[in-house]
Amino acid sequence: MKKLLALALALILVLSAAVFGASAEDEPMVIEWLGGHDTDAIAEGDTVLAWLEEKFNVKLNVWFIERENYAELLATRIAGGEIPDVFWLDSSELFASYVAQGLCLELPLDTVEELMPESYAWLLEFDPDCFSLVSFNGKNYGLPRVNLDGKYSYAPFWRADWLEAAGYAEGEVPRTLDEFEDVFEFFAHGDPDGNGVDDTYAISNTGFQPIFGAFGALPDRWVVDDAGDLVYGAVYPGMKDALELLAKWYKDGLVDPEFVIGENQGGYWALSVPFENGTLGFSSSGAFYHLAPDFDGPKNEETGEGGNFQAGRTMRNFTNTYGYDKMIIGYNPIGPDGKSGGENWGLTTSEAVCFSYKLAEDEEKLAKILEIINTIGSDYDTWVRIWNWDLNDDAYTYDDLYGFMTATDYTRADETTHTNMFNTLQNPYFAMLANPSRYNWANSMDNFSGFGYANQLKITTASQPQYWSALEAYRQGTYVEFIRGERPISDWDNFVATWMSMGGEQITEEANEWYHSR
Amino acid sequence: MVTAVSRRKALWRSIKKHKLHLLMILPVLAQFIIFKYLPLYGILIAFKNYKLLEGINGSRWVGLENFRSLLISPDFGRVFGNTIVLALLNFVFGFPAPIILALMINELRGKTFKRITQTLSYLPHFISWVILAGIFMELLSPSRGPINAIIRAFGGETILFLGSPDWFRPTLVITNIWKGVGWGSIVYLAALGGINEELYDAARVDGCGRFNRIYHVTLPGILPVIIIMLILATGNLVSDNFDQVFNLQNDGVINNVGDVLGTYIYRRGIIQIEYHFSSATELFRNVISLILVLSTNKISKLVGEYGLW
Repeated sequence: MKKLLALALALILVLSAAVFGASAEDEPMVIEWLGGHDTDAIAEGDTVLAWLEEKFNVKLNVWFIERENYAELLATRIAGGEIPDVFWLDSSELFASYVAQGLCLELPLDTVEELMPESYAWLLEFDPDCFSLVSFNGKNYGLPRVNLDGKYSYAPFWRADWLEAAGYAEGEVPRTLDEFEDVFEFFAHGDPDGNGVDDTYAISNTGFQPIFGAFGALPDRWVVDDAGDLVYGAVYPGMKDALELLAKWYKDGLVDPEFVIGENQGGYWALSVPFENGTLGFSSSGAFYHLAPDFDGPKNEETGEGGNFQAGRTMRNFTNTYGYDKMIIGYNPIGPDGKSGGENWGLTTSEAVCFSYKLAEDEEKLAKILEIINTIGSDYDTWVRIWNWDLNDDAYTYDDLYGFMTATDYTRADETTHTNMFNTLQNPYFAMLANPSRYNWANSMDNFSGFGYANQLKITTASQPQYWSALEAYRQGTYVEFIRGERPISDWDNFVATWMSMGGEQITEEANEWYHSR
Repeated sequence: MVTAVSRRKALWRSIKKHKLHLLMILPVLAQFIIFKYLPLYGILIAFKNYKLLEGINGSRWVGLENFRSLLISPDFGRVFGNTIVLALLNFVFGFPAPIILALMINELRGKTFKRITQTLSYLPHFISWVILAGIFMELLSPSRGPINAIIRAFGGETILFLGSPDWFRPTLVITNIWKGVGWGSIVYLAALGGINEELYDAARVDGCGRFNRIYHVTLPGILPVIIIMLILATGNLVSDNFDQVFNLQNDGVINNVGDVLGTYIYRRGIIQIEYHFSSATELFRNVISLILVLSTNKISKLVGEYGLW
């Protein structure tokens, strides 16, 4: 009896192993996916996800991590023993920490070229430097994220009606620093809104950037100095004069004292609360596309509906309250030495897409992931499909001027799917095709085509992770002290020396070592 | 031998008698063991160079390197000093606040009114600092906030409560008291309820007025509780309210009064994944806390008052 039982059990075991073993071969490969980031978690039954899974015969477990506290939450989950096969890192600081922790797979450029040749080619064509942002100590650890918007620089914007009250003709804006100063004086003390109350300011924290730019650098990025060396903007000599000017403006009451808290006080990052509230006359909060006006596209011939292509965030919020004629896009001021410029994101962002160290043991899976990323990144039909647009589908039409539109009411095609989760490489050529109105408009505005300060240090140096957060806190705090006059401008040399001694000198050396070795 | 046996018998009898009570305390004990005592072994990473991949056991021992790294860091003096100053202010102004509130609530006459006041007073305790920070930023805003509007209406100058080094600490202390005072008063109110009514009657007969009754009857009645709370509070003299400081911090104060130990190790330990560094700092802090609590307890017993144990 016992023998019989044992035999039966053995039989069951063998059979089940055969059954499950066989089915395992057909089972799609499971990939833990964090190959991008979006504002919401992917919903159950997402059609784009289902389409991708079927196309590549994989099972994608899509991770969602809140953007706020991203670094903290991701590290906590990894410390708990899980790690995504592919993961997006939102800053070069985070990238360096992850590489130092040994979490990122080394991904030689040869492998990238071999497994994703199309994407490798256009990445290098778009920005030959792009892979330096995902390298550490000479080795490559992931894929860069390039950025079409980096072709355009920030331009500041004004209250048009206040400028007119200051005596500017319609459509005219201040161009030189002296003109800026005169207008600022009027904005702060001349009652530009005519309400009889002294309740307006000229400039706040985002508006400082164009002013710094007129003196040859921005404090939060690396620039090349006259000797041809990399120097961090915060300690660039010209910043001393810029701070002196800002301190004077602060003393004269032109600067909104709330600048230390920031113009943006929660909510979407590019919005300026005081500008929207009508207490600030000048700002440089947000990139070109936040300032885009409404585009009036084709309307449905039968119903006469649609044709509205929504304006950028800043423009939309402001004009909803005040109307289009109350805001005008300006130019970055020209400084005493003819220098000028606003922020520029650079052609490659400081974000990185890395792969789990575990994939060293699973070349098949790595190849599959790179295949998915490459196909979405370089096959236009696939790329279009992940936006849920489908040219074979009657729901959408394509227009050379306005890109993808819904066929029925000619409004811009819905972009609210979770595409950013899968749009790992953000192919800029495709973005231009899909959204021509935005870029045609940007190209037509010379405000955005001027020089912009992009970060010239494109790697994370070896000792940056150790010192950088302390250096940044020191820089931000000290700049505020200079501007508010709590620290005299004669203390500038002392500030530079302290910044250097806190690790800044070492990082500057490493930065130049990289810069001159290229 | 006989005594041992009888003692064991007594113990069994006692266990048998209280078996239901023991059963009820079991989940609490389990909770303490699982969530408080077992994770203690994680303290090990304070002495290691913790790598996520290698885990707690696999990571390399580095001895006291993490503590050295904390103490020699150029920021340490500033953030530790800020932490202590802030904690002292919170202690000096924040410790008596709930006692005063409890005494005030105790003197209220209408029972319903008393209950409502008490409930309202501890509501803020349940709101997180993330939300409160948003509320306070609006309330205290120089341009939009009602507080500054009132100050201006009385002819005062606009005050930048959160962005100026002079006002940041007072603002932290006051908002902290506002949030915690009601919750803190509960324990004192409970103690007040335990005072014998006859003592008040006797005091009244002896001609004590209201303030004299508080001084001679109420305060001595809750003194043991005050002493115990005081001893516990000294343990907080090296801690900071991370949630509060982190959410109200801004560029105007980050370089001076607004950076404390908690926000510093958040930047370094959590964001840069140096968990060993955070652990070392917290351990360092807890050891100081423990020393403070033990010595206060000792002093309290020496001067003849009550102690924790």
